[in-house]
Amino acid sequence: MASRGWNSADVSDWGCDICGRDAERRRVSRRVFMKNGALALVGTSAIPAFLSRSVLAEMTTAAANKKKLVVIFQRGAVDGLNVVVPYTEQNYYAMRPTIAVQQNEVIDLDGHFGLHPQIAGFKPLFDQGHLAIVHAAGSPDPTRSHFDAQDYMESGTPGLKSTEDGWLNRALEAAPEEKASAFRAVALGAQVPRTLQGKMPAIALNNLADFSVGGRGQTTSPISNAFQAMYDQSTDTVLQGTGQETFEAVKMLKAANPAEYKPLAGVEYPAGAFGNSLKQIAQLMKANLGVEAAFTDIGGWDTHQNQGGANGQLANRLTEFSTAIAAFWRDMGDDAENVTLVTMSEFGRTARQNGTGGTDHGHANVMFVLGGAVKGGKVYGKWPGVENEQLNEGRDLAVTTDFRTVLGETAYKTLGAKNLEVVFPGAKVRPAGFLGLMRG
Amino acid sequence: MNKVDAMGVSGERRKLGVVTELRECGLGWQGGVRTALAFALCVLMVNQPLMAAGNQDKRGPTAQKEGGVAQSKVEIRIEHALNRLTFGPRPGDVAAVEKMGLTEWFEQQLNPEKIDDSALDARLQSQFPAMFLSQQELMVRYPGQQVIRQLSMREERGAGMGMGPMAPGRPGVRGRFAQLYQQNQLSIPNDPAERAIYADQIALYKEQQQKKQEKDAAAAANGANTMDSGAPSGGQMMSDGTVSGSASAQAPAPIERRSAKKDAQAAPSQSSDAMSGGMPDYEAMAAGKDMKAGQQSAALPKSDVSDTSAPDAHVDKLYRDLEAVKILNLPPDERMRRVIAMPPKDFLAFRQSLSGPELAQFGQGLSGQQREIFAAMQNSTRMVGAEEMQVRMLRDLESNRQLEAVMTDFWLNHFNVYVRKNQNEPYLIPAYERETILPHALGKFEDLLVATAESPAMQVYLDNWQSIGPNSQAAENGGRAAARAQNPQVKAALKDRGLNENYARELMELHTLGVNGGYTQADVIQVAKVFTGWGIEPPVRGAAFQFDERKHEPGTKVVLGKTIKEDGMKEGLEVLHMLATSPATAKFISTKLAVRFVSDDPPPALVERMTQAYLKSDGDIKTVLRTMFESQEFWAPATAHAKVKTPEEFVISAVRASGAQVNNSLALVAALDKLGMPLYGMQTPNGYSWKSEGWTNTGALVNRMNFALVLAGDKLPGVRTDWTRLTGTVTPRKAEMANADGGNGYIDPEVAAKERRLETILLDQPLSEKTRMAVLSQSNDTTAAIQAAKEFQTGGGGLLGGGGGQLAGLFGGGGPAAAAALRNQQQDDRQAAIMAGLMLGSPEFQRR
Repeated sequence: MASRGWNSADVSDWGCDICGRDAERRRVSRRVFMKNGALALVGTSAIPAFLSRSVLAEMTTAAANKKKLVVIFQRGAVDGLNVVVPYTEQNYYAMRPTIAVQQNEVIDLDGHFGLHPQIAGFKPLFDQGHLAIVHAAGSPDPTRSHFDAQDYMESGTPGLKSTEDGWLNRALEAAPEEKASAFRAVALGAQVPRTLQGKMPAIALNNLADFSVGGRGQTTSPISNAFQAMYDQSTDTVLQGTGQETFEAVKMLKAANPAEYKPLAGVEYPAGAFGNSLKQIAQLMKANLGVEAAFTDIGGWDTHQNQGGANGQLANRLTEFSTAIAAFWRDMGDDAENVTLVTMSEFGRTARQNGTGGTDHGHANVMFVLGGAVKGGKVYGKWPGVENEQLNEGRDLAVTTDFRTVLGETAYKTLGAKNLEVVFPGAKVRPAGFLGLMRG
Repeated sequence: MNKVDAMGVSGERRKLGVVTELRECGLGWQGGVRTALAFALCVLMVNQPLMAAGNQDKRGPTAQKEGGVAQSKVEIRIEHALNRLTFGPRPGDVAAVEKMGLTEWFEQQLNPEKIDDSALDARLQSQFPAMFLSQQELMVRYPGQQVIRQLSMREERGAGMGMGPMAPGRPGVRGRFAQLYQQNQLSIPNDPAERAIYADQIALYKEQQQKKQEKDAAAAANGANTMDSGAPSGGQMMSDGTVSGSASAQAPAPIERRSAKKDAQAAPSQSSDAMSGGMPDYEAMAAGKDMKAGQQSAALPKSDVSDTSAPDAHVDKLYRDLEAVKILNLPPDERMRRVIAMPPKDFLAFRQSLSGPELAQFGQGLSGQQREIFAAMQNSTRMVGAEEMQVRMLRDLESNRQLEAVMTDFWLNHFNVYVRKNQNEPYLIPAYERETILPHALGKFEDLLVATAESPAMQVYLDNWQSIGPNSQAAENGGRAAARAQNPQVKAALKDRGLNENYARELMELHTLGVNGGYTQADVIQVAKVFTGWGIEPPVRGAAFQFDERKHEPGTKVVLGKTIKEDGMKEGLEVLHMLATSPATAKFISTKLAVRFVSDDPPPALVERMTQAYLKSDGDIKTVLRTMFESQEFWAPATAHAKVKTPEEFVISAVRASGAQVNNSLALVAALDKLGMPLYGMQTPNGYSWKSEGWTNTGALVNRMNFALVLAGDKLPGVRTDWTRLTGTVTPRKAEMANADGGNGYIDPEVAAKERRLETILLDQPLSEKTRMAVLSQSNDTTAAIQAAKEFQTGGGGLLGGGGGQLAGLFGGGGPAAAAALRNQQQDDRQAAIMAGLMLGSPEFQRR
């Protein structure tokens, strides 16, 4: 189809240059901007987000690639020590008398670590070399607040609250795309998560089938066009920008009709929001909508009480988590080789179980990296140990790998975000410091 | 022709929908007119922010709305106040406040007891009597899944007191249950209705268990690695199973049943043959209905669904459907009597055989309590959950005490609890709203803080009820019991009971000091010790707050540098007092209030004055709000329309603005689910954000536009809009007349007048001329609302599960089908409806 979005469709001139709000949508003005070196301004907050976006889209020349990065946030702080279990450590069992995963229950990975039995679905992926595990990863910031820790992880700037955008948005900025699709960055959910907020447009949607105004059909409804006219012309910069993204996305979705991409035969996503999100991410990717970064999250990890061991609360969450990811991987079929999927959670949990059969807020955690270019079959990272004296503040697994090193490598090698200083300002993430999780 | 393509090739064509549409109708503007008008519009739009900002100094005594409606300075101020301090103005509100005087209105709102709200109270009490029961009564009358599970297990083991195998990880619970039985604290009631609520839910529970077992067995036979779907393992007193879990398991096969019923109606003779085919009489069954109902119905012929042969099932269905029709035609009391008298199996079949409209018919004429009983017989928890959300929504929509409603909403979000925390939480929320939050919403912060600390809802939500002092008597007893225990897991569970930090941390981080409020991890642990012993009575006994000295950690604690001497529950009150009077808390609360009422990034000077007001007044919320109301910043031009509405504010303000009559608020509750802001649906304790980021994104906008169309188009079940009444004398015109502009940009003056009238009613700032043109150009599109209704289906998901629509039917509004059945009057002014829908979905209406 001919639509390249509003910047190509809008060639009119309202003869009214004092209306600054739509100046960027007129070619003449855009050229003027470019002549004056608008690119130099990119990255400053002086120009509105939508403006820098259009300039970038026009000017950059990076080749399109077919690589895709999927980021999954386990909100609530998953208990990593019970997910990838250091089953040879005596103190692990001593500290967790009722909730430890027993040696005869774990699925051995390498003679030291074993998977929780409810994520057995990960074992074949690990054996095939697609799945890598990074243990004792986390944030250098010591906060035990869910919200601060999530905020820091999503902004990619631990300890710094003033950061306005998310690391994944900046990763897209650092990997410019000539013809950025409206679907370049998508989040499954009701809101654009912190991770994806920023200058690059990002779409949040709950349900592909509902993403249409006043009628489904192949073309947009008249009422949708009327709404579009309202939002296009609005002086409300926040809503105007969002409106533009919305209507372009609605049109693209109508044309691509991702709903026709059913899961591959034999692939069954687990019931629930998380499985549904991953299923829809697969649909969007298969529909060739230009998705490069996708985000979704799964909650229910804040197991302060009665978390269980091989069975129970945590086990149930892990079942949903792992079967959905395994289903997604299979559903992507041949294209799975272009996909990298990474999981994260704001912090780990106390090494000792608490007084109510659960665990409280801790520090380091486990991350999974799954993908075609991943050098899997290995548990990465330096293991700090769980002897009492090895614990962070005497209570939590210590962090030995900065989570940004892991995310940086996946963004660098998947999205081509070569300028990691943009992605993680001040973190000094360098290719030389990568763990070597991925080829390329 | 594909419009997108057309835009791509035609240089003249704007992508602008309005113009495209007009042109496609052959009504495009001619060049000269267009340019001239465009210029004029640009000028207008440049001026608009100034006007919209309500800059009174530059506007003279009256400002002219572009629509031609004069607006005085006073009116602008009143609209601003109503936008910020209420859930949005209703038609006529501005005039009413003007008559009273804005300051007087505000003072009255600060003292809600002086405002008559008896109409709403009466309505809520008659419609939702369960919501006014004490917590214990609510839990006894409408037992939750935990009780049902226990009773059904007991029943399976016969009437004996044998409590069966001890569940691992739950020492003593069964034992306590046995004790409660003996004390008759947990028993099947004798009242027939209450009895039916128990018996029918137990039957349903068993049916589900059986299905699950069959499924598991089948899965095991297939050797598939099925997921453990979180069956009540018996290991969790407070199961993490969600309410919707049971809701989804209940989905019937309505189409099949309905078609069977048609057969039944079409061939009565055949049905009566079936009737005479040996089916037992309802009355006879009713007589024998008691706790053995399960077994009894199991003894009925062909009543076991799973192994009924096909022809028998058919006969069964015919019988049931005919019987169902009969029951629907009975007078309300008799209808209820029959249903209550049904054996559980028959009741389930009857219930599942009802279509949406039939359900609505069943609900007609029933009292609030009868409806509750009927809903509770299937799933009490879902009934309770649905009602508490309806009550909250209705209060927000209709209370005359709007500031109290807004502040209740604010504090419910500040002291967030999550309805799906576990299966007991829904039962704790009515009292939480009614007794903990609402009475303190405009009082002293410390009272509110103490009330939340003592509330079962918060105790459970943040796990404090389970926290035990490591050196407490309970821990010691546990240690001794552990030493005796045989089962190693029980042993360990008893031995290792102790602190839980969850409440202590969030109390300081989210309720009082704020994350940078100067506390450390050591403080968190100390505060956790202070609050050991604060908890609730066992849920089966009503879950009231209690302080249990035996669980309380002995010894002195040090919190934020202050020594707290050992003093039982008073330690906690002392800590709460410290926190409530801390300057960090004053600032944290003031900032949050300013973000809610003033702007996302409130002026520091204003926050500072509010903070000082807080400190000087002992945390008096009224005083803090008054300081804000009287500040120059609250009225500054930059403040006007600075806030983007949250989904909740958007939905409620849209309904209020449109003057809709809400017979049933479930569809609105479901709409909030869809818009990402479900009531009591925030899982994490930080609550929803009051800032615009996060609420302004593509998916959200699509949903808002569709909601606006659905609401204005009168397609929302249980919510009636009547534009004819609102727009008054302006008569609707035929569609073809409306746009007969002859290519000269001419708009029918009557349509234009109606548009302006709607603008005055719905918006507090003039539409931009472009928006107005977009509205006018669409005034003859009458299908949009119907289409939007397809996009905005609210039946599924959320607490209500698939049953939301069904419950809606029962409560008098209905799912889409039921709504159609109930609607006695068709929307007659579709033109106004479409214009109103566009206005409610416009950028202007997304702000307050």
